[in-house]
Amino acid sequence: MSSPANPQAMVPKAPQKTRTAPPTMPQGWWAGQSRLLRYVLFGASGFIYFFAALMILCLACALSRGPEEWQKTLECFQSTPSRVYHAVALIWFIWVGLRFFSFFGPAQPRKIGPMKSPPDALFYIVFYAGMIVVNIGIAALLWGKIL
Amino acid sequence: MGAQKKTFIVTRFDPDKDSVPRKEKYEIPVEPHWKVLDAVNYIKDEVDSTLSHRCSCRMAVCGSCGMSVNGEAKLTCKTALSDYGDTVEIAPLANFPIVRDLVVELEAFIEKFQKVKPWIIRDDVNDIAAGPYKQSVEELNVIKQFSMCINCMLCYAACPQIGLNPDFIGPAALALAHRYNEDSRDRGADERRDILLGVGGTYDCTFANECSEVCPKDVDPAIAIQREKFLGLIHWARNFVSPKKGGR
Repeated sequence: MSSPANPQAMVPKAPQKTRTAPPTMPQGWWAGQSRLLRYVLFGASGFIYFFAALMILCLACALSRGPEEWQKTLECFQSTPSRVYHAVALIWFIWVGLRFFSFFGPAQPRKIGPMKSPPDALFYIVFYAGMIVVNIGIAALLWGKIL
Repeated sequence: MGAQKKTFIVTRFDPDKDSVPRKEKYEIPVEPHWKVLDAVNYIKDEVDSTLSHRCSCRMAVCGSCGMSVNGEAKLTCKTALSDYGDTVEIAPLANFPIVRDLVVELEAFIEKFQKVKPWIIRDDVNDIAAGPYKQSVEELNVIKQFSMCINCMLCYAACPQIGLNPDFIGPAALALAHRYNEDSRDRGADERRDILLGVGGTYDCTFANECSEVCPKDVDPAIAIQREKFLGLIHWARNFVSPKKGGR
């Protein structure tokens, strides 16, 4: 059997007529099946965003304390752990973007909200180019190549 | 030439005797053209009449024969047995309490289903003499895919959120809410909004996309939920800027 699910999952509010066996999670949860593992990794990207947000806060804080503090923070960001983090983040962001947009429209026309989507080719070119440019920009900033 | 044989490992649970589900092995002859449901029916008819399962139409319309086949939620009347090896594991749908053998408790789905008001809501009702509410082909195409749901519960069995978060309304019901919200004849989006944006609503979906992966009718509930999230965001932004123009 698969691992147990929350015992209240899909349990009706009204009393049940017969005794039931408790629900189980989908088989392979959470790493036994490649799709579910990718989903868990996708969810884990929250940690990456969290650290990215912390870095942005640090930069904003340093900016408010004057040029010396700003320079110090930039130097700190040029350390090896920071560079490793950004390399991981670069790969992660692109992978998360790929996974997210790969879900759209196996059958339905791709459309979110009131706007019609651009042609597929244009959509992918703009999206991936945008992701890569933003990431290269951040990388250059952290490597001290700009600013 | 003798018929090919396959081994089926079937989950059994008798609420009167068993404290937990157990597994039972059946080796039966199978035909090349069989669906998984044919094998389950064969076991029930020829080997062990105590096996309980649900099925009806045998043509992927009624949605009652959903089971877990080798760990994946499948509509067994639509799943070719030839896709599997010599051993096939059949279990009741995950995330649902098991009533008996391969039969699961569906009442909670009906409760969640009713929550999203899956019917056309209007303040005004046309006179019968005016004829039916008309809908263009373009308007129909917007909702057609989401209206193909047969409530087979495969999406609920595949969704990890359902098993983790009992409050989550779930893919089929949320997709149906989106189907009615997008229906050109419906005016009930405001009534459904509190449900869709509240606890257990669309924002409890973490986009595992498993519902769309297993859907036998290509309804793509995951995308319906993401669209509702986006529309909810638009509504919030409109309300924030101009509270009077918050309607969809």
